[in-house]
Amino acid sequence: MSFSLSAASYLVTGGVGVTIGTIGAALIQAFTSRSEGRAHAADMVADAAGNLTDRLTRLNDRLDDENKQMRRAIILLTDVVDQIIPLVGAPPEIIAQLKKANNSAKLAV
Amino acid sequence: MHSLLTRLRVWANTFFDELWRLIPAQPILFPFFFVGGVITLIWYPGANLLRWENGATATYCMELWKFLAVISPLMVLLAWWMIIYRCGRTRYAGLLIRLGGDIGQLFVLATYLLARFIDPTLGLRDDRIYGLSVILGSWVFVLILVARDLYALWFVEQLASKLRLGLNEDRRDARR
Repeated sequence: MSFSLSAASYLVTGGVGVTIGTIGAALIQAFTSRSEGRAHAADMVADAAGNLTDRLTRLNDRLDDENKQMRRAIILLTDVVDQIIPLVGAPPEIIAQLKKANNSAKLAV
Repeated sequence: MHSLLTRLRVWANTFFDELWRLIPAQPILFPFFFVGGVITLIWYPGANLLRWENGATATYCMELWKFLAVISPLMVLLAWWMIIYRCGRTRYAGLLIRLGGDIGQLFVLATYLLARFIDPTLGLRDDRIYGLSVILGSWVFVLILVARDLYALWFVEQLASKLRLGLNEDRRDARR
């Protein structure tokens, strides 16, 4: 018998053994009342994974909406500041600072 | 026509730009494993797919191999249904069946690798090198799936023991 055939006979026999073993274990777990704790834990893990995805999607949508609102507000504000700057009778260095801050806000959106 | 193209473009953008990282390989790969097993079982029942010399051991290995090749993907499909659409004990049993299906598939691929590519009597010919890399990649992928299944079961066991511990403490508190 070749080396591979001998090794393969162990492999497939082991594979079938494990497969049938897990089916047996699954049947025992499914039809006995001893696995209540595990069943509850499996539910918690599966539900937590689903809930986490839902929660993160909702959070992401909300942050996206807030971000859009803030961008609109900043654009509106910088436009108004641009119109007000020539009318403000402040010292030149203050006006320069105001222009610089306004330009930074425009670049940020 | 224009609308169809636009919709196709939007779908492609969503699929490749947002979802490409999340393409699940298991539902793509396992139907092919299953179809390969079924074709071997039904259309080539006497085929010596693994190229062994004839004999009782070779026949025994080939029959078990075909059984595993067909049953393993079916077990994974059943487990998927049990985990997604059922709850409680059935869901936990689904985790066990998924582990069994993935281990079965791991052994199917390992046997195929051993018989077709690694057997020293056959030698690694140039026409086998690319096939070897593809099957080896599939085997490593299934090995990772087995690790995932074991981790999921370990995690559930840990959580279950914590739940039992909490329950026992509650009972103790109630007695006091």
